[in-house]
Amino acid sequence: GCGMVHPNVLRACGIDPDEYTGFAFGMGLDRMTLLDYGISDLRNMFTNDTDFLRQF
Amino acid sequence: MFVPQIWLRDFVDIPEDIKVFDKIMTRSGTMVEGYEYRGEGLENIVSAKVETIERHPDSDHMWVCSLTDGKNTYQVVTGAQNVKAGDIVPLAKDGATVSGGKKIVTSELRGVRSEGMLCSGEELGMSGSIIPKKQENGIYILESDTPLGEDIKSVLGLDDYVVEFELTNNRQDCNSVLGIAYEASAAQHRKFDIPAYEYDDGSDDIRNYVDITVKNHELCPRYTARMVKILKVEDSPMWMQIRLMGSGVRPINNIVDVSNYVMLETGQPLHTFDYDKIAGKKVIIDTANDGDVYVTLDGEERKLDSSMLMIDDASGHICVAGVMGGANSEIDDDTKYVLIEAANFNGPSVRNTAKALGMRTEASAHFEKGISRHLTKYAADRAVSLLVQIGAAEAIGGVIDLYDELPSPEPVTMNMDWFNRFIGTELTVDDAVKYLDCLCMDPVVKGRDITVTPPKYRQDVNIKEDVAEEVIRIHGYANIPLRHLESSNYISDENRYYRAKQEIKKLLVDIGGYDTLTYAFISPSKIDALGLKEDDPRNRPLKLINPLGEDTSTMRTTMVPNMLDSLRTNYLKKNKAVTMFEIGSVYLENPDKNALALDIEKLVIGKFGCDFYEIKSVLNYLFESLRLTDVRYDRADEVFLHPGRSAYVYLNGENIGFIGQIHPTVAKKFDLCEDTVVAELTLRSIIERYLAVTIRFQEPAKYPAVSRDLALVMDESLQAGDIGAAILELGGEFITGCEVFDVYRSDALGEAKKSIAYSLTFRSPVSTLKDEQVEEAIGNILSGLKDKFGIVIRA
Repeated sequence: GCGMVHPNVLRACGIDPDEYTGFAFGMGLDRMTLLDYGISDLRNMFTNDTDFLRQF
Repeated sequence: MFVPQIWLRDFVDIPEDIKVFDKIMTRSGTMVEGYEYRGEGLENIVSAKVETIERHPDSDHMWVCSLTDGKNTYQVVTGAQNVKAGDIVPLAKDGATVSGGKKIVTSELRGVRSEGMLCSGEELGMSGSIIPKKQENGIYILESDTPLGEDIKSVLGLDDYVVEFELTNNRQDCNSVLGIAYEASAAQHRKFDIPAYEYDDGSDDIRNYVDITVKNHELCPRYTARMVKILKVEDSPMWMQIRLMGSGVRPINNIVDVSNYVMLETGQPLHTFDYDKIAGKKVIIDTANDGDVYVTLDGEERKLDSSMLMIDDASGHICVAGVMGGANSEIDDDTKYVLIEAANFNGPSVRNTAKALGMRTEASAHFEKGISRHLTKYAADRAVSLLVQIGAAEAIGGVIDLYDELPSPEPVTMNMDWFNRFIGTELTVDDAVKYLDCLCMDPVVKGRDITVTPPKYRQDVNIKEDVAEEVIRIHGYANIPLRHLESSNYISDENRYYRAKQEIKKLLVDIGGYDTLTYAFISPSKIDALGLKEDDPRNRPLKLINPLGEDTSTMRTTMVPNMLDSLRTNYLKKNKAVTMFEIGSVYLENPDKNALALDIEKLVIGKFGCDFYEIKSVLNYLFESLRLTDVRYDRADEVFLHPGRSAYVYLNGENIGFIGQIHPTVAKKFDLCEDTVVAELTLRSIIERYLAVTIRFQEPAKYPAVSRDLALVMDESLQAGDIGAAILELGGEFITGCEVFDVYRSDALGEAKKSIAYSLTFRSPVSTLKDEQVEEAIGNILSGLKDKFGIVIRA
């Protein structure tokens, strides 16, 4: 997900939302890697089979 | 929630192409979870009338039917028992396919020709949980005025998609067909008009029939009631049944069906009571008493407490408010008058009551999510109009509507210049006004400010940022122009720690190491498998409060179990043995209970099918490459390592970790061969030392070195490192190096003896060494070793 930080959150942190705005986004690095290389199963990344590791 | 498109099309035009519809809804914030074509796989099935039906001559449970589709006659054998002459049924002709992929062909059943198949609800793709009880276990009987020869998909409205939407918590106003229609209109930049219905109210008044009191306004902010006079309790029309089934609700009878229909359409759950069963003609909304007992519609006896809101009559409870009605007030075939309840109940209260009683219904689920108080009267009126429309009842005039207050959303003002800065666009006031108008926000412009009043049913637009979200999601997030991030030219300090970490990884990869990745969470059984001592801090892993499962219930205190698992995977697969390593954090209890847990980064190295020295040489390679020279090894005392083949590693006098062959018991627990070696070192210690080392130039030696090898026989208990250190001490001023290059064991050496071969290097900074000088040094070494340790040269 991603988006602009809610003004209430900024206020709770002592920041004036009319002076500053913020945005944040997050993506699972494992899943991005999955998509980029076309890896079929996320568990491959944690099993550490050398047949998998040697491809990268 | 599931919405059949045909229902939506009553209120708003939507694109024919389901993929386009998916896109416009999802992109404007109403996420499409999925969709299903109801007529999937139904080909060549038509409506046909059964003209005659006779018993099969050769079977006592089958029937031979003669059907007409208006053009031709078909003879079909069926095993169903519910078909009568005159019934109109779905006929799958020769060549048809039914739900599930089955292909129908003309065949013979027990010697009688069958030119097709009559279809049950399931064969038409309907799920067993929503087929009306009457139509279960039999052929699906169509309405008696169904035209013949029509494709079953159009007869039953199955040429339609059911779309599943996933709603966000703040937009439960969309939990209805009308709510989705509102969104679908705005997403297409059109304004939605909430429909009004007209019908004859009649001259009678509900106040002549019943008296209603709300005793607890906090749990029931609004109670609206209307009444109707039943004409006949029977099946609801097919079009209504089809829509209910598409939404996942089983049709029961016209009264209950209208109640469910209105709930799905408006988002306001209704309840219907048999008026004549209401004792004293009084309805009271109040909490129960602790210990009260009540039998619900499903026949179960429920125990109540004083937190639960109930609907009562003069003699006791008749309904669990917002959850489920009772056996003592339900509609049956003899019902003459119906009291329709459309009420607003406190969401959390309904949720707690439903949970405590173990009953979660469609109605309670709606209330849990929070419903606007403004919906009740609209829904009650809609129910009455629908009952009149389908000929189920006559309206009784008037409405009882009890509430303390009906707060309406406050106006919110947003400045357009602020909007464009916040979102990063260049929209005009007119653009924003157009979108806000489509959302029924009633925008009023004053200069560059827009003031909106959100529609009554929405509770989520309260600050200018909410208004901004409404504008941009309708305009389309994808239409925001892309721009590079502008910022001041701030260059942060180089993260030397991070770069050093990457260097270490590269060094290990360069000699053939494999970088592995494992989870920071671990099963406690894996830590137990190491057999750590009771008071070892690593034996007290931090526990998760809400773990997903055993395997992820604690935080790892050492990298060793995960490394052993990685090695095991490859060992069992008979992959070639390679050096594996990982850099990761381990977590330990912080003695300061108010601070975060200790997070210590470790480097772990492992390999199966090798000996201790092979991994030691990997460590040596690493330390040399990092120019770390003050490295010492000393006998280790770790329960999970082989006692004779393990060592602690000291860098600059600090114990930074261990290396060793794993203990046979541990090897067994992890299904590994015994010659598996692991090493685990504290990364920060290595990196900080590495970053602290400054290279000072040293004049290269001018004169050549002399080397001598010594094979020394010593007690098994002596450590090679200690003897090496002794040699350096005894070696005099010219000895510069002493390396172990061989370890030899044999019974011929004597009991509990081993032979270690050292390669010694001598050099003088001022002249070429003479043989006599070297011999003298060797002599001192050998006599010193003999005196102190009883060591002799190998014969």
